[in-house]
Amino acid sequence: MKSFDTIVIGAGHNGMTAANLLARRGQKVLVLEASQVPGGMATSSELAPGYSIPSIAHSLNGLDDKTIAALGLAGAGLRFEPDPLPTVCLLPAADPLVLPNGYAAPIPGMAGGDQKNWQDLLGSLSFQAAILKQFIASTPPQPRERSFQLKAEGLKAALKMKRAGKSELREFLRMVLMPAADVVQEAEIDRRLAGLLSFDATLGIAVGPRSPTSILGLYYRLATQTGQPRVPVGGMAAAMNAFHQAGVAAGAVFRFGTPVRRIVVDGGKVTGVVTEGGEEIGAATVLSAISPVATFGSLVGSRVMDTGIVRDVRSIRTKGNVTKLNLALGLRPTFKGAGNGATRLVFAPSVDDVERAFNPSKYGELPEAPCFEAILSAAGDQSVPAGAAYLSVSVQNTPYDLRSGWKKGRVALMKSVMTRLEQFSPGIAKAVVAAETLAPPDIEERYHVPGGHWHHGEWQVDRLFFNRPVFGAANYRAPIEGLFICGAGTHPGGGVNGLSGLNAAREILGAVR
Amino acid sequence: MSMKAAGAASEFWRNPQWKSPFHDRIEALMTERHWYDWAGYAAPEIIDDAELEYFAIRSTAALFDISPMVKYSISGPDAEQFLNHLTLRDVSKLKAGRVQYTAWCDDDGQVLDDGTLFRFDDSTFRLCCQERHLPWLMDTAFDYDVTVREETDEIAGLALQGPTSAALLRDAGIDVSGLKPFQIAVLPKSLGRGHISRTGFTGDLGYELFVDRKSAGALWDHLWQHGTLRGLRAIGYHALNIARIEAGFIVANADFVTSETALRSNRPRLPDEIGLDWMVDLTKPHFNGKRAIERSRQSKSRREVLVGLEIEGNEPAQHAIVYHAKRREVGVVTAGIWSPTAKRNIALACVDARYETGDNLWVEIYALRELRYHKLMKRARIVERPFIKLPRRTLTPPGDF
Repeated sequence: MKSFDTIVIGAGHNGMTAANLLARRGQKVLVLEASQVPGGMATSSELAPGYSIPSIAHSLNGLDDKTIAALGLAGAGLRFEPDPLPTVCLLPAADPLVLPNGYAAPIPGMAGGDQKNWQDLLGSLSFQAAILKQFIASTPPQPRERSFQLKAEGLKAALKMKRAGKSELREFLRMVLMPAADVVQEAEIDRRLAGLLSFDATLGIAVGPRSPTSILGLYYRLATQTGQPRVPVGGMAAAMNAFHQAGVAAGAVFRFGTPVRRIVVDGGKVTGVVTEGGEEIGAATVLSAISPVATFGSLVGSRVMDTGIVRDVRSIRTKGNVTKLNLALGLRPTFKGAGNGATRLVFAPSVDDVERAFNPSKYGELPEAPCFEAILSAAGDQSVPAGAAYLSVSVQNTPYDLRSGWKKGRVALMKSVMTRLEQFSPGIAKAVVAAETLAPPDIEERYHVPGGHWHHGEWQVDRLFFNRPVFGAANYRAPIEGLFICGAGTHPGGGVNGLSGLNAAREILGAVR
Repeated sequence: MSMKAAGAASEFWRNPQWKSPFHDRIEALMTERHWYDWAGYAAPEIIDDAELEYFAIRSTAALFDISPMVKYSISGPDAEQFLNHLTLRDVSKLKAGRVQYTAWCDDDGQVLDDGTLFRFDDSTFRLCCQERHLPWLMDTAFDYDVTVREETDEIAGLALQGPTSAALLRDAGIDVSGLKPFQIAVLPKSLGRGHISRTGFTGDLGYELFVDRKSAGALWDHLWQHGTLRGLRAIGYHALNIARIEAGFIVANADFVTSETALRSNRPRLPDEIGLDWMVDLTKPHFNGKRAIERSRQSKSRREVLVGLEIEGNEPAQHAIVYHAKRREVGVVTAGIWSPTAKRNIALACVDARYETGDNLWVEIYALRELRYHKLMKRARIVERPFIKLPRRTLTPPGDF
């Protein structure tokens, strides 16, 4: 039987991040991936001949320079488009609002008062998010075992805020669990920006802007997406290939097309894995970088786990609510406000529109006017034929358990989004060469993520920090010796930032030392 | 659970206690009218005379209604594996027709309850306990081919305890001469569908009978009829409690706080902290709390121990504080009585584990004498449990008294 120090299950970007770091520290690492390519939900696939389109995730906004350096990604070919990614807010019966560089720059043509309110709100949210970042980028303390560390971290953060002025701490404690709608309303920002922030705060989470705690999603975005929004040269597949190549260069062994059937546990200890092909591979440490529900439910099985944690894992809300529409277009469509570079289009005209789109999802229905974001490829993008383009659309509030069924739902959703796009770019429907609709059940099937959730499990306050994925396993350790977990379902959550992979690798190195 | 026992549901609020199938018979005998709440049922504390009731246990025969005991039916191909996951002891070693005293823990190794596990055949069990656990059992069972059902109000139970109990049963047409301790036999069909086991909570010769609810009244009457010449007396919990302390048995939420009912996070106990360490079978591949118990043993983090105390004098030490060298507070008495059979002042106590073997232990008893407290500081010695050992408890065939 072959044997490794650590077996990583899943070559998503977090699994590859951890494998890379462990290999750099001299470990013998094997990465097993079910599909034929690296990247999991963050890669691209060929939708039509010559069209490589981001399958699910379509930007690398969360990946910071420190991580890129630590993994040697630049050496493995990761490059970013030099131009910042502008955001174009599509508005019915009005000119679009253009943010040339995400939230970063002043908004051209916006009046002084509105501009100031916008900058003030961003300033205070960014300040608070920067303090949250120290928690996001490290392993959550376990309240039971290391209460001292928890107190120390909390104190450090409180001190930082206190030093910035005593009202900052009070302000943070007041705002942290507010509805996003109330935050933007009291800041009196432009209603178009209020719509954008409401959308950004709630995309991928089953809340509306008027739901309590919905501002958390915005903090997460701000804390993980510092600096400029980034689009990788060559698309998501190129970025994931860089992760793969960097891992190989670090010494990790990758095997694709090798799904794992189960994690072998003997007397409470991990001894290795068995692949679907029946091959047993030994390792004292296994890092499962897939959905924690799949890890515990399918690969480990509840028979070797205690009832309490099984109960907690089963209560993770895994049902996704984002549908991905991928469009291969024969011509690059024109949208007012969009230039030649890659562009982010957002349809979320106001807080009311975002909230109204959320309401039906509670009852298993599709919104009448869905809100969405879309990435329009740059003119001259190499991942599509010359003169062509792709549009990669994430539509929110599309519930996993659609009452009318997804067979009808896919058609209805595509139709309503196309009608909306047609409104802003007449003729776009005719340019469609190929299209696919990946509803949550499709994402579940294709990526082996129970529920088809972006974050592998709801990213809400009851499942964050030391409760993510569940209390007792938030330090990336499963309650089985030698078994570790990372990925979107663990702290801090989804997004292409590699943080859970980084944290988990650190924990593994700390445990074997 | 249905509310059949409570009568008309609309009137339930007037007296929100269920009635056991023996309620009317007990009520007819009861002169003390002293009821208490046992898991939602009205249960007798004293029927007519607590002392005579106690001496019925030790000298003749006593009949105690155990119908309120929480009972779960557990059956299916995976029942044994499921129970091995749930409980501390190895269920594969429990043969069909036998009973096992056992306990179960949560993920942190903290005891959820103790109870008795009856194995009727390979795949059919009954678990009897103090607290209700259906959600925990169902969540443990979810990956096993097993059916878990609460049957508390469907099955009536009677404990028949005392030296003349075997002879009484023989007179009543139930042959228990070959029945060994912890063994189960099927009741004669004429008495209804049910079982008899040589088990009990008194440390004496004794049996427990379980029948379907509709046969309950007839079973009571049948035993009662044959009990006249055997000194049979219906008893309440007061008498039983004295007997169980003498036998050294613990009661959940009296001698320890169960994990699910504790309000304070430091109150639940590991098996090792309440004298149940002998149950923990670490050779089993997995069971709930195994990892936590192993870790606690490795790190020697056991905080408390449950011990038997013999205390000088004759004043019961119920809930007294235990001191070391009369000064340092090191524990509390959970149950204290003057033992009529041992003729000693005995107690069960939770004590700081560092004083497990230490002497120089004292208990401070506040004795109320006509509205004035007499503070007694009495010497306490840690002694073996049980406090009394009766050969007749285990003798097979049992004595013919």
